[in-house]
Amino acid sequence: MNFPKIDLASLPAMDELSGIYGSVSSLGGTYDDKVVSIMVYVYETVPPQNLI
Amino acid sequence: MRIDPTLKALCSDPAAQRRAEHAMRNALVAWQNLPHHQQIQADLARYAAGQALADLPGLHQLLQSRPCAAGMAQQWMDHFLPVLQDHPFAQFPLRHSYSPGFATLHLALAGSAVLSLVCYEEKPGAQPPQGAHFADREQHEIVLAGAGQVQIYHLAQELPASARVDCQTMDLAAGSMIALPSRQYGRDITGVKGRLLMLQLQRLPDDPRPARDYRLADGAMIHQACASKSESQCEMALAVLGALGRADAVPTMLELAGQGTTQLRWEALRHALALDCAAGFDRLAGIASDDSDPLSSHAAQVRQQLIRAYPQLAQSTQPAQRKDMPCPA
Repeated sequence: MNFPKIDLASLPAMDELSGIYGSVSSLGGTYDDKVVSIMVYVYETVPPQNLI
Repeated sequence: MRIDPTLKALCSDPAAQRRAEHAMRNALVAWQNLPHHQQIQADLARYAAGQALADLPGLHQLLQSRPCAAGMAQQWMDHFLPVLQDHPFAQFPLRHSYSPGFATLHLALAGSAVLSLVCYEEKPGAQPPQGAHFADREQHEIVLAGAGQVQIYHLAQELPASARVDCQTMDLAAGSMIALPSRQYGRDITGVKGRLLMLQLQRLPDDPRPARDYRLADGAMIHQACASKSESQCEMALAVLGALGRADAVPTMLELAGQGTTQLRWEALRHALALDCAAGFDRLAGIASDDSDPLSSHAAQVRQQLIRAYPQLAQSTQPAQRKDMPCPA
């Protein structure tokens, strides 16, 4: 059977959609405090040769 | 880019970096070993596990008594500020963030509960809030220093696309407390004079409901956001894999179409259909025929729509035989 190629845009989304985590409306409050998500950076340092 | 000469010197001085790192680590260990801190940490773990705040005397008192809360902040300063004075570029070991006007620092974490210091700075010319934000979490705060105002929102009635929001304004000063016991409550800080410093306790439920914003003027829902980071990560991954045409991801997409929230399941199914019509349509038909599935009627509508557009799909009654696709990467 020959299956068609369906365009993603032609497939309807759900009637009620949620924005992704952390998205806020443009009518938000005075402060950007609605979602505080903190990224942790891990630094890998290589000791200089003369210390090895 | 300008790099401060002191920072430049530190970059080429591994010994000084190690000294700063050790000084910070020692301060952290000493602070975390304080009996009071350990009691708070133990209470926080029980709070994260679902115990009521009122049943945890140490943590409860911290959020009810300004001297107690200020005492904890003072202990924190006593341990870390001397290190920062000696090593101004030392990497601070507790999670922290700053955005214009708002800073936060996590004092203690346990599961989905976090105890933080939060600081709001005066914002001249700031417009009053137009919308009320309701997130699924429990939050308790006590003001340590400064003054400002808070607008407390209460969802008096929630309808599918609108709500009746009650709003109450309260002045804040040292010792003021704010309690948001559930998703029915939200708040906005306004009118800060100078700085406003608060101790904040937050707890998220295991399966949080989406956050919603309602316009204060008429109660219309203006935004809804997913409350789960992992679900949003999956949605973004689906979008990327779909845009890259990664047909080898279809089996995973079909798996996702069978579990999780209806939005994530539907997005997974849409991308599977676009990448592999045979496998996607087979799954779509399966969902459409299962009356107990909340996606059933939506899937049935789309199935009919696809059959109208591509009549050959009406013959697709047998489960599609598909071969595992090699990864094109």
